[in-house]
Amino acid sequence: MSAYWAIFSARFRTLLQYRVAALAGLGTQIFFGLVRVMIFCAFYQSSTTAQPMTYEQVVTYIWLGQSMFLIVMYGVDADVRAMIASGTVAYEMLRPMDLYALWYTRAVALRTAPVIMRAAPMLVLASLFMGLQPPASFASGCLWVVATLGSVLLASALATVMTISLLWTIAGDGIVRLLYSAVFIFSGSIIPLPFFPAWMQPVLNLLPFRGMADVPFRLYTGNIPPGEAAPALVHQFLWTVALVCLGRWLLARGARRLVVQGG
Amino acid sequence: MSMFDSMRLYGRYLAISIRSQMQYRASFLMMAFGNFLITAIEFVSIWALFARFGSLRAWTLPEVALFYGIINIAFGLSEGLARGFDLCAGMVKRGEFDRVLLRPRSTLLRSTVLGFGGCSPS
Repeated sequence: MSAYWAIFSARFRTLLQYRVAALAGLGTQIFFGLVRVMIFCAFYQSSTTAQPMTYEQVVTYIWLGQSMFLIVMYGVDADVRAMIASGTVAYEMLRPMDLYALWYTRAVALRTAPVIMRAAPMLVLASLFMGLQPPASFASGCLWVVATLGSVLLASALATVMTISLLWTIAGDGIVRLLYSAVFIFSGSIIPLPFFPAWMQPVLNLLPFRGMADVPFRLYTGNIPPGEAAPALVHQFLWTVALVCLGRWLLARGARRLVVQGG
Repeated sequence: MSMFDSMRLYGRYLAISIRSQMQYRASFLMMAFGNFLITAIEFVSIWALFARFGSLRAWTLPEVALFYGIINIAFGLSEGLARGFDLCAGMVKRGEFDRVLLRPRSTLLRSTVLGFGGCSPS
């Protein structure tokens, strides 16, 4: 366990070095956040029909999404991708540790350090100037924290599956992009999931992706009241377990048939 | 070097790029399909918003769809023809950009076609 902790903290500190990148990212996120807020502003002004979320909730949802987007956005681990493409992945397999746990730990680090660096200033700015509301209640705030941690674990499990899939495709952009389009829209990263038609809701509720963004954000805004949080959190947890099992199984299969050329 | 000569060279780079991508045919097909899906699936969110709200001021869904299509075609063309610029930053960081500067051709042309040969830019 201590080995994985060391890898996590080393990765974490390495990633903390890219502060200017975080700052540049902050500007980009604010820009796109404002565009998305404007889109919803225009829609709410041009219609009076009842909507599944209030305008204030949507704005808060958007800013949470802009600050946490790296949890969803980071796909495969670029270093591992390079190792698989070049064949140096063989060294990874020789290490006296569990390969899946190693890659999963790296995925978690990738989804914490950059996110913390970007989210903290973003949340402050958005709550001061851009309409980000505080959590609906103390309980909502606590549940948001729990669900956000859960979303990191879930997104890392999915990303590790994607990384392992590179053992088959090698160049790998194809399948990763394919999954990405699904992750992006069905996690609520483009529009909040309640805005999708009613007939799509059962499907969206079943898919794993909502646990990566929609669930924490709606818990924060109180759109999912604290009393109804348990099923959403259990859903998130079960998908995390399922994806970890899938990743382990895929990796065991991939490692068995792996051929590294050269020497 | 004449302009015509450069364009011919660019054309050959394009041909090499297509041939090298065909080496990973499954990945290429999945990427093409994936890109199509991304474009289509993001449109689902626009459609969902129009389904909820009716219209956006005077704009209707078909009109917005036309904009969406034009922008995506333009984006696809620029990515397809000059994606190399995306890779410049990484090359400068790794100290590999001098290779581009050393080529006896326009740096602009070389930058445009970076990575056309496959995964690793050189």
